[in-house]
Amino acid sequence: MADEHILFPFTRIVGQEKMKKALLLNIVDPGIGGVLIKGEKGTAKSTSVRSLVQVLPAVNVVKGCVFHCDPKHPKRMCVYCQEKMAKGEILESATVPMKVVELPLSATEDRVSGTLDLEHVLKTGEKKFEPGVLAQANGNLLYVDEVNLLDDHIVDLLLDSAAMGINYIEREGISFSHPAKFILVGTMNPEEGNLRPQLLDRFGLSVMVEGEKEIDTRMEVIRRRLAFDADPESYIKDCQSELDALHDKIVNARKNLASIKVDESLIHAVAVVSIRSGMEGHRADISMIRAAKANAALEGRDKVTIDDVRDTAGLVLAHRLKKGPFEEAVFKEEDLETWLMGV
Amino acid sequence: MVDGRVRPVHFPFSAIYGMEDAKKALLCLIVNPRIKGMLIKGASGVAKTTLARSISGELSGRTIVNVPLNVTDEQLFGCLDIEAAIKDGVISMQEGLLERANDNFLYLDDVNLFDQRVISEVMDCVLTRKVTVERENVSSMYTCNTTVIATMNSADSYLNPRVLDCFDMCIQIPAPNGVKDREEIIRRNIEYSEDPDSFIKKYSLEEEKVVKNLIDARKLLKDVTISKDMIAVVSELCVKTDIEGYRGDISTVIVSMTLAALNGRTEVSLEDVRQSALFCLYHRQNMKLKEKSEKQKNKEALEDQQDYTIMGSGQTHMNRCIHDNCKEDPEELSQEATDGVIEPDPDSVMTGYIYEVDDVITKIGETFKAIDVFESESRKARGAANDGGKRLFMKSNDRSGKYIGSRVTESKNPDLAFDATVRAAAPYQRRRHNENDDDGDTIIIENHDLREKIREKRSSSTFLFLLDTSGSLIIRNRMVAVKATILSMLKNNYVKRDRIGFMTFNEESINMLMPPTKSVDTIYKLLDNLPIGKRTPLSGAMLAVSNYMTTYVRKRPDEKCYVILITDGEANVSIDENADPIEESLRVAAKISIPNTEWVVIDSGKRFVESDDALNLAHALRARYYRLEDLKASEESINLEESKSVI
Repeated sequence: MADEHILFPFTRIVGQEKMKKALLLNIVDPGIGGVLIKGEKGTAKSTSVRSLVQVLPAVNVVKGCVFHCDPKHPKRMCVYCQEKMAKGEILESATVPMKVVELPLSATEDRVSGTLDLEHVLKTGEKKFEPGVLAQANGNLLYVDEVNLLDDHIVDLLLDSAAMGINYIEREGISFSHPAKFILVGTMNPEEGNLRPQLLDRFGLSVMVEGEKEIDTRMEVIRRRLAFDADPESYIKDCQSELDALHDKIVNARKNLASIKVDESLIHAVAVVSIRSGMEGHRADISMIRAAKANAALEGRDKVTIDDVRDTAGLVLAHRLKKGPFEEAVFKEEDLETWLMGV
Repeated sequence: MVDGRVRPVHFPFSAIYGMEDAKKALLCLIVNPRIKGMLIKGASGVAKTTLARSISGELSGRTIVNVPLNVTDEQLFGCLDIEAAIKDGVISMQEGLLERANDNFLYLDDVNLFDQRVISEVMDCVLTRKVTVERENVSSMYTCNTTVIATMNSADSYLNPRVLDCFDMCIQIPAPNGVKDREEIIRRNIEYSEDPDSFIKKYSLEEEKVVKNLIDARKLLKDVTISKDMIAVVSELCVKTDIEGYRGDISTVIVSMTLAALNGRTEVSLEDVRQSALFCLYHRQNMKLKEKSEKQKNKEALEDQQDYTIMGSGQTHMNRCIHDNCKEDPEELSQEATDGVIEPDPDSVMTGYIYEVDDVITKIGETFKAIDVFESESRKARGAANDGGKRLFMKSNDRSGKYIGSRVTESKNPDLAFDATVRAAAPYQRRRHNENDDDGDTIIIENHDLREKIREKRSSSTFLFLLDTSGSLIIRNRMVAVKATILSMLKNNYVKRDRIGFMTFNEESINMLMPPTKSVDTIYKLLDNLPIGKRTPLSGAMLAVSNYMTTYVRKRPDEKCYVILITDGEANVSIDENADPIEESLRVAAKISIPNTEWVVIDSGKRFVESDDALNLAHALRARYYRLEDLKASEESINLEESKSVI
């Protein structure tokens, strides 16, 4: 059925503003480091992530490259592209839409990291690398549903790539590496267990989503869903202008991001917040700055203010707060205000 | 196939802010190839990886060979070269990572997450400088002159002490706390990410200076001597700090000589020795204490707080030793010693972590030095000295898990290890093609070439707590103790991410409050709001568990399950109205048999109450038996072998 491919429009998801914001910020600046979305089932986590595809910007890639290398950054290209460049070939570029690449829970190690190309070996006796999910994910958004249930050895693969932006394969006779920089988006239901700390720390932002408590909003959710199910195509058509507007907003924000300057007072504020909230490493500091900047860009401003930090710091800090294993560290807005006091 | 390696752009060494000790240690590593390994520990996000990567390329003239977490043995040590075998009929070896690392650096990120066996073998090769490969038609030996750089998160902490000892140096990166420091780091990071090229250019002069220092030091190193006095200082230090073996002494001497060269001197000074002792002895001294405390844990309990103090005092002790030996300017030196790497690291050995956990437990009830029944059991099984850390692996029989090796196929429908199969077939291709008289364009694989994958996955366990919440517990005011026992037992399970379920029973209901999940937080909440009843339908509860677990186990054949029954055994509700509740509970218990599942009975009755109900129940269930009292801190002498365990 064609209907199955039509996703509920991103702009018509009721509420869940924080989650939407966290996702959009990452699309504006993938350097923020991804989003972890925590919440009970049925709170539109997956719907939101998947439907992002409707508003994702187009990106420039090297034409025909399986790793979608960015033509602007020759140093970060895959070996094939680098080899072509070395030979003096001119790499043609193409514009393709950014994708949401899903990593299924049942994925096996070889499919995720890539493996030896069977057919090629059998036919020619030569080894060739067969790219996996991480190759597809390069330059795109990598979505892992129920990320907390992912097997440990698959998580290990993600850790390496997330740390260096490069996927190293040293297995099955293959020694290969390729760029694997992606926006990591994970969703999880905390009732089913926690995330390994190593992976948790790699997420730039996190949000906790809850079902709407207001009767009116809940009714609105139902109404929209029914309308969509009745006739998805015309429903999408109806809100196409909204989707386009959001798409343009993202494209503009990405364009303007580079010209937005962060002034000293903000760096100071972020450093103070980090210390007061007990952050250990520097990932939080950097994500806070980047998120604030992306927030300003998204709102079409060319200056970052302390309010941008205020709006986004919670997303950065919540999952990084220290806690004991049987405790839940809860982030409160008031805490942020105390941390920001006097800066 | 092209050399499939991407070389990442890296943050310049001289632009890394702070971390003077770690940087100095890295310079030593570059200057002196006799230093074989360095471990960088620190909290997540303190730029451990950035630092390690920054020395590749122009700075050291060497590259960094990255070992990914899921590396297989063939790739690491080398294996048959398929292409050569098939095309030219030559048996030759394909370069392994260790061979590529010859005259380069070998880099292991998150070293504690690797299989400890692999790490052990790698360190062995690095220390002996040669690799011997005997596998799949290949018999080869090559030199491997390399230096290992490894990082690990101090919160993860556990590394086999033997492996730890193989690292000459171990540097702790402290988290920066000053606002100014943090600001500067953010500033440099923004600058780098906005325009890496000009950022690198901006620091190129600084980098050149470092390179020059390195070249000079390398030249000078040949002439550096260390006086007998200084060697005596090193020996004394090692004796005083209780270093086992001589690796510590040797590392300290070598590193101090390198430091002298870096400082442009040919004579090792006391200051060099002091600094090098900080680099080389800290982790070895800890290690001994660690081992001790691990053993203690095995035997008695998790003496969290005491652990912490052992480490603390050990550290001051070491400070003092170093201090004693530095007569030049004791004030300043001791000041430095406390400022630098030497500060006790509460995060290592998980003490900080357990310490934090402790607070939580205290909040609920009195803290136990509880026996962790399961942890010590599994330790015993594996041998206490050879503790593989928190990750337990088991061979997996379905097709899930990590591919770790291959074997000749045994099954009809094998999980084919393609690479191994092709390698097995490769040497015979010429002959087979000749026999078949074909053009040799394809690979001929015969039945006996087939290899299947050996996979390994993390073994996990399920713990189902079955708690008697009848009135007798309340009357005796035992609930606090019970809660605390459960929570302290869970400490280990939480780390290992096993599944935990929770079921209670009283006359109102037999209640599965939490079916087995990985979420420990939930049980914490449940324990605070327990429904309390009056009577004890023991047989009913056991039957309910038996029904539930039988299905559960069927779905997870690899899972090791434990049912922990906490009760005083005084059943007073029976299923059959005419039966005696206690007798019935024993009868039911004797009949229960759930595959892969072990019962543990914790007797919550008070000792002075002369009742053997719970003990009899344990007998009937063929369960291990503990008294709640025995798990309490006040009677820490209890030891598993001595406890009244029933087969």
